[in-house]
Amino acid sequence: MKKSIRVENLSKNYGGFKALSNINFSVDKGTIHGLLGENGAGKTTAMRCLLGLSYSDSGNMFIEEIEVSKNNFKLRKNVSYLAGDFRPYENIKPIEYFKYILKLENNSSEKYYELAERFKLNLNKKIKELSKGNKQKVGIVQAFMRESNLLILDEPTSGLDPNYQRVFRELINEEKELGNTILLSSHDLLEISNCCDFITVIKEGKVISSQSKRDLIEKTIKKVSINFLSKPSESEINKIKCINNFEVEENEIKFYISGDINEFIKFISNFSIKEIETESSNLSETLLEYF
Amino acid sequence: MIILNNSIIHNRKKILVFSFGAIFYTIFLLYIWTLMSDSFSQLLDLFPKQIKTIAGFGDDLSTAGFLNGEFMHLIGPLIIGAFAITIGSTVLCSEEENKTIDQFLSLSISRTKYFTEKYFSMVLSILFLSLIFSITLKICDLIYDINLNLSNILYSGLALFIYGVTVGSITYLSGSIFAKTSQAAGIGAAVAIIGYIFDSVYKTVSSMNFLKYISLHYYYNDNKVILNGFDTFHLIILLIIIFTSFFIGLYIFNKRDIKS
Repeated sequence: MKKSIRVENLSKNYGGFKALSNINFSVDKGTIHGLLGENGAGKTTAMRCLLGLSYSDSGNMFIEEIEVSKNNFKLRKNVSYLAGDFRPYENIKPIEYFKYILKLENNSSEKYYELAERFKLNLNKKIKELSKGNKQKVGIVQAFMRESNLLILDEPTSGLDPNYQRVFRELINEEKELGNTILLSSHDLLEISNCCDFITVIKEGKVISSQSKRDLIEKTIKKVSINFLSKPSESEINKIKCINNFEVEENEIKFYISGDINEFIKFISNFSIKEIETESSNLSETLLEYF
Repeated sequence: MIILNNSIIHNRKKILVFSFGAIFYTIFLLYIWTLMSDSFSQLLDLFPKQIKTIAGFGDDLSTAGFLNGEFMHLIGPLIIGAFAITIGSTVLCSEEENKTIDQFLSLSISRTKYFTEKYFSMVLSILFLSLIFSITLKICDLIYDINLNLSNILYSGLALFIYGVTVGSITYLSGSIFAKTSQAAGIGAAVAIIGYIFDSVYKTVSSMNFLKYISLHYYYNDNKVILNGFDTFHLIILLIIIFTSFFIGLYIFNKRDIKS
């Protein structure tokens, strides 16, 4: 699959602080890729390096297979960005702000009307008079109105109420359907697990996991409680690879399973069962383990 | 030119406030001059020679001579310098401090274009204020009939413009290095004030003559620009400071991280 973004051995220090340490990840074209991590993990730094707002100390970055080098501003023609701490000009109206941004690139798009309508954003009220959530909508609209192939969104739903978070999710899925790529960062597990096809987890400036959502779901731990009439011995249970852990309480055994569940089903079919109860932990809980 | 236009529009209140100040002060000063022009020489005799030298008054008792001391030496550079520092320290830095710059530099706009247009918005603003000074002088000349010829007026406007751009460029350079409005303004103000002090000291203490070479004020008005026009060497020095500040600032701005 073609890569929209490729990051190789990227490092960035601020004074003595290592913000990024040899990170590697890539973003497939036409996917939604989540950068997950705690505050200060290095998500924003990685994005700023990609956009040329900060310069890396070492490593290589590629957007659409073109290397991101200093002052390679033309590369950003098809890249939209929403800063994590988005700050527009306060003394103008959203419509004036959008027109100004588009004018800077000779872009004649009028998509902001449609986007503002979807987010119920008042285009003619001064930005300084808007609430935090509405200012964030200004940021979202300015990112999507340029009709870019690649959207880099830093904590895009911060300050949005659940209704508009849903509108936002619809919007990024539409972009994905158009073949556009979205890289979004968040420390919100639910947002990442709901939206993304791929998830890269960054912790203390290092990538600790980068895999597809499907792979992650497979790794999700399922809990199965079985009340046996004739229960297996502990040594028999230990032989089954997909059982991560188990707890025995009289005739009831609680199994913690991940990966291929068929092996487990075959195993328990050898025993008489009185009652069975299953419980799946969600992806958010799996992701939480990385923190 | 969109960034340039936007910056000028963004700074319109500051431009208006300083323009009103410049107009008011120039009219007031020349009105006072019409009241005291006949007794100007007697008035000057009341002051010690050093004070007259520091204040920039020479032997010329014409309107231009009076303006050289009262207007070109102190208040003119004070107003234009304060304006240049205000604009130079905020035009780029405040965007970085307020983080509004992130969205613009993440577009397909080069940092060079952004830096240059912002810089020239400052230059044009200073040019506008210098023109306001010159036009007001001409209007006062017509109203009060004070015998100011056109060359006096043009020289004064040009000198204030060059001085303002020099101070503004140093401030802008500081802003591009430190990305902090207060620091940029502090450095710009320090350069202007120290320049004025050194200019006064070298005129009164002969052993401190060397100080003039590190004083902006010396290069700006040692030749009494309103009366004699620019000294070519001094003008070149000021232009070198302007170009050097611009290009060093541009180099640094292109090389460093945008403040996050």
